[in-house]
Amino acid sequence: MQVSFRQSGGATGFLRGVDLDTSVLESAVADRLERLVVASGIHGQIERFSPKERDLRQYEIVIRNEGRVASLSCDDRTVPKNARPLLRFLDAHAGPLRRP
Amino acid sequence: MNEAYDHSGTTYDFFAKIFGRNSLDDEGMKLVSSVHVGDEDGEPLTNAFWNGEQMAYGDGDGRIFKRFTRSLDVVGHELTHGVESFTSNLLYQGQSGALNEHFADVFGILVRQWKRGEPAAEASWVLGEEILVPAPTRRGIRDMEKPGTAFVNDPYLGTDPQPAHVKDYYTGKLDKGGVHLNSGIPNRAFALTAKALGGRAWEVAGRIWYDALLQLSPLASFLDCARVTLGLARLHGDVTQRAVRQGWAAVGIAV
Repeated sequence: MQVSFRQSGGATGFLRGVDLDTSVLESAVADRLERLVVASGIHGQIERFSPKERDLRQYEIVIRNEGRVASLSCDDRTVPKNARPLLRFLDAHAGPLRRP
Repeated sequence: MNEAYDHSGTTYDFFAKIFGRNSLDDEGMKLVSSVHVGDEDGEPLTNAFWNGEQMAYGDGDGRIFKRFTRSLDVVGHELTHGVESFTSNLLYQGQSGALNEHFADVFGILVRQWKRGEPAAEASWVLGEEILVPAPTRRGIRDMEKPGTAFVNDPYLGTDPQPAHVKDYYTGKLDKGGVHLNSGIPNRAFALTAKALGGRAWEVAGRIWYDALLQLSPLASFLDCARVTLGLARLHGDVTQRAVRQGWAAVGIAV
């Protein structure tokens, strides 16, 4: 399973992210990530953004597993409750990104 | 709480005294701020935002970010999002979204320069200096005069991703199509214009940009903004017109 995480926007506007592959992670970390992905309930392509807010941080999570792709695009106010632990995990593993 | 209150009052006074605007809606709307805002997990928010009706400020994590209310220009930035919602209401996506961020930065920095009485040539054009824990790798969150240089090789923030010229325009999906990234382009045009005009940036350049904010449509592009500001500059004479044209030309937008 591969999981890609990107954070952008917010009042500060900096970019952070990480690309994780469970096949090369420590087994305990890989197991945790896979459990969080399952618990997140992210299936298909989910996109939800707040319409009126300005300067919220934007998140993008893309999950690739056995040929299937699922993704979540959201902001601070629209993160699904079940996906918050996954987001927290990915944020803890993220680092600064160069502008693509 | 005092910071949010005082900076909101200063921003209100700035718009009232310089542009004759009575609050965000020009009808005396109350300025409401929430402070010490936490995230969904109860941790201190490392952000500030406008929720469509009021401002919200986090306290930062204490490691990279301090309280977001510390910075007058950040408070001015958030309040300007409110002004925008009652004026041009620039669509918060892609190029119009970058203009939305641009105008918030313009009036955020002008509030601070006005409060300090700083002429454009001597003023700092760096935003958000006070919300960052000091480190050699960071000066602020954005540099309007020199986009892309506010932080460099920072262990947490990385390198400032803002482009300073349309040739480096960001076209990806992140950040609603780069609203906080591509705003560096018009930010530099404004800073260069203000410095070329000399004097105090809020008097002529600020006036032109405020009037442009009232005229632009929600889907305005950088070129639309350049054309409108150039048109407004004509009211201020040839020197002003030349400064505005050269400011936009420096970032790759010919009008």
